[in-house]
Amino acid sequence: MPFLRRWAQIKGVRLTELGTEQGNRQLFTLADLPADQQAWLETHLADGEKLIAARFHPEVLPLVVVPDRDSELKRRLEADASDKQISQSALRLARQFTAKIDAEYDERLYINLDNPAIQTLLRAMTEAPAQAARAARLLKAFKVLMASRSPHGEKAPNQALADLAASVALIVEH
Amino acid sequence: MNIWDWVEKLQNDLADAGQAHSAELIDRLTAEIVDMKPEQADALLPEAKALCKTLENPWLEVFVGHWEMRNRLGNKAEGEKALADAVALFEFAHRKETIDCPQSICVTQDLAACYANIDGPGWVNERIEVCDETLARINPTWNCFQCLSNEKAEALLDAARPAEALTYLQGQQESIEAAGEEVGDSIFEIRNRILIVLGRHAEALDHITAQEAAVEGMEWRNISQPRTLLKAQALAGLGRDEEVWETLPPLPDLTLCDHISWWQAAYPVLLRQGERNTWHLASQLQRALAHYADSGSYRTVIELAEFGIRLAILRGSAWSARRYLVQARACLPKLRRDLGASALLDKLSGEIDALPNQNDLPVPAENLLEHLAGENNSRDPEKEVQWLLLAVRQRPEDAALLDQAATALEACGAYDDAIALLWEYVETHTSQEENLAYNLLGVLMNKGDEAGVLRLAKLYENSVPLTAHWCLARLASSRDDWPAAERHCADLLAISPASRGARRLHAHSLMQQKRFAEAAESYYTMYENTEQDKSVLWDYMVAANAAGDWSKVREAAKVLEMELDSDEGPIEEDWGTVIVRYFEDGEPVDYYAQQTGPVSARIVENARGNWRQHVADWIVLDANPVFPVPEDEEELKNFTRTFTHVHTLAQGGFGQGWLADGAYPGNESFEQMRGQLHSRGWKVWIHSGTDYEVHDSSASLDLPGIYFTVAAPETVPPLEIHKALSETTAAWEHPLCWLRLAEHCELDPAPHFEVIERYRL
Repeated sequence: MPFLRRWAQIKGVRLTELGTEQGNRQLFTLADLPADQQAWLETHLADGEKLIAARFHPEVLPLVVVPDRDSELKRRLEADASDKQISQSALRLARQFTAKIDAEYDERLYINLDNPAIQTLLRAMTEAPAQAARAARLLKAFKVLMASRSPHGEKAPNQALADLAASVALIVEH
Repeated sequence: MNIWDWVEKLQNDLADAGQAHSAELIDRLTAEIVDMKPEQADALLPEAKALCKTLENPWLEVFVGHWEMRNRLGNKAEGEKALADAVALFEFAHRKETIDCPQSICVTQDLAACYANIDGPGWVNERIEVCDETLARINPTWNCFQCLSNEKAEALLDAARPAEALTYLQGQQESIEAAGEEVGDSIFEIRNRILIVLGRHAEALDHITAQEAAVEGMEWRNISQPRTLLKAQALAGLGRDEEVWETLPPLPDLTLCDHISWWQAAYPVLLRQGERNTWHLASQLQRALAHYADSGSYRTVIELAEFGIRLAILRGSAWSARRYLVQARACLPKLRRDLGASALLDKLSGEIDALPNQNDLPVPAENLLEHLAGENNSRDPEKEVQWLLLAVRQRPEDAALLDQAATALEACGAYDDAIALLWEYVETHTSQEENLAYNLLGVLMNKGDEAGVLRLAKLYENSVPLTAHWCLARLASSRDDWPAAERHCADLLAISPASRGARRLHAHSLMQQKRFAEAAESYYTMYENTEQDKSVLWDYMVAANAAGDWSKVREAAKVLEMELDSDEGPIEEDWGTVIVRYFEDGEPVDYYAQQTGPVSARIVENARGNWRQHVADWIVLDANPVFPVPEDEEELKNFTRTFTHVHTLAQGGFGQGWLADGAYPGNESFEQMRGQLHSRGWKVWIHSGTDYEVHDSSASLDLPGIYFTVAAPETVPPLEIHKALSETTAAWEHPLCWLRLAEHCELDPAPHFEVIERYRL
């Protein structure tokens, strides 16, 4: 890191340090969406994940799925096994916190509002809803396939591959 | 196992594996935290966390996580803001792979400390339970024993049981001593705090004075700063008001976590010394209040707000008092237990309501600005702000009034109010360029509200793109995103070529990208557009010099009526001694240099130790001096101008500077040695002052001392420097020491330790 900082300084290039508050803010900001757009995206892109509208780099990345750390934390701390290893009074304090966590979702689906495909989709949603739904199917397949490549991912479900094939067929036909 | 033994072993392993930098990182991180430098620690944390992942070392992850918590809970006084991470760390520290790490005990304490920050008195019982249960698992030989004892004593204090806290802490102290361990400073700090709460101020002061007298050498700030603040509290309790002000450090110098302690000392004195109870001090209280509120340290907000409200009432400012009250009330629902907080705020609210009516303007709203400008006495934004806000309500379209009102709000630290007021106007005035939009941009930038700046840019995107570009350029520059800043400035200049601010930022963005020739062009355009403002010509000269364009430097020098010895080519003359300031890892580092031209210099001082070597570098300086030239003639005699480094034209090519220290051998011997080293092309620089002395313990004799560095070209092996030093000083009566160099060459360090011991270096 010091080497990178020095190199960036000497070369006059910008270094964004992930993990710092400022660095994260530059690469990732939460955004607001009108309720109807949020609902439409949830219907067409989510598979039980919590959908969150955001703006992040790289702009070419339309969406990304990440585990919901809070839910995971709640599960771990509220598991019976925890009782055996942890000081009981401290565990009670920790559970005061996890009791307030809404663990409805195991994963979060971040939608990148700076991505051209998402922007097109949001426009098409009202102007051409049928085409928008078909395009969303492709994006959803992309999401599943991408998640399947992550270290924690499952094998790509057949549905995603089928959706991908169907989308290609549609593009060729039109 | 002792955590520090484990860390030391890890560091040795890392160093042996060629990762000395990683080993050093761990030391630097903990050092920054105990020295209460939260920003510096934050800058190191991403790298430290990455190291944990690279090494796949869960114990190190617990260690780093705990120190991050020390920074956040200790130095930044975070409460609810840190809770999710404190709980996650607590969970991580109790997994199968981490449960045996000794630092998992500290992490348990972090969790309790986080709840203490949120609402100490509200979580007393739970905190005591955690301490008791955890203490039962360890013994006084553990480092955590002292920390947990402190934590419990503080909980007893929060429970308003100070006498019990004192007895408890004394018992713990005895246990620690009985176990043969040394009692740490933090135990004494809590003891002093309890004594103050008990009203035993003189006793606390005696302890603190004795502790101060016993300090030898360097002391970490997390020990000295709280002790100084407790001393001020003790003095305040004894009514020694003037000494309180002499003792209290200036507020801006304090880490934010200690602001509450500062106010605990200052508050009783301010009640007695009304002339010190000013709006300016109140704006600093607001800053701390906002910090504690943002951090989720809710009980502290209420305590500090009480000071603020009572002092505002004494100043007659219902406006300030109400603002503090609103902020304190917002924290009430976040408390674990009310414990009288609501009743206190209701009582204070009644006292504010009893203040004389302040809802009348002294003159009609349209004449208010004139009236305020005409007042002979110094301006008081806290007094004026109430009138200005009333006047704005009557004249919402009066931009000048709004401008003044927002400025007064900002002066009082009421940034959110200023932003809200300006938004109200700006949002409905988007058809043309508005000065108030720039005011709003200024406040948003000061507050670091990036989302607000983006929103402002969006608002003017179509109607006044010039404003939008300026917002985005400013935001980009604050993010050090120089290509984006340059782009937005260029777009703005295409619309408004004479815009001075945009031109300056444009040129600055090019400088930051090392595109000096283009920057020079940009400055020159600015010079021509600003009726040939000569101050711009200096910046032009700096850019041209960095670009190596000596003919342009000469042209500018001529316009600035400077005389040069030569007519063409590089300028390399003797313009006297200056100091050049570098910024390395955010820290300013100064070196003596010889100025060689209007804005160029050559470094003549060696860097010491691990600092980057710059000696013999030929560099370009910023034209603005860091410090103004003193007006006093006596001061001027010893004054050397300091300039910031801009660019290195040519590197000197020297390696690390090695320090040698010991008794001064006399001019002749020293100059002989220096001459011999110089003849090899090496640099010798004396860092010690004329009053430096060493003590020869073998003869009980004080001798003149010297310490200096030797730097050789990078290609020279350090062993050669060692040999040269040995040869050239062999005949000296008193041997010198150069321990670091010897260690680096893996030579026997014993002779150097002997010198250190004999001369008490």
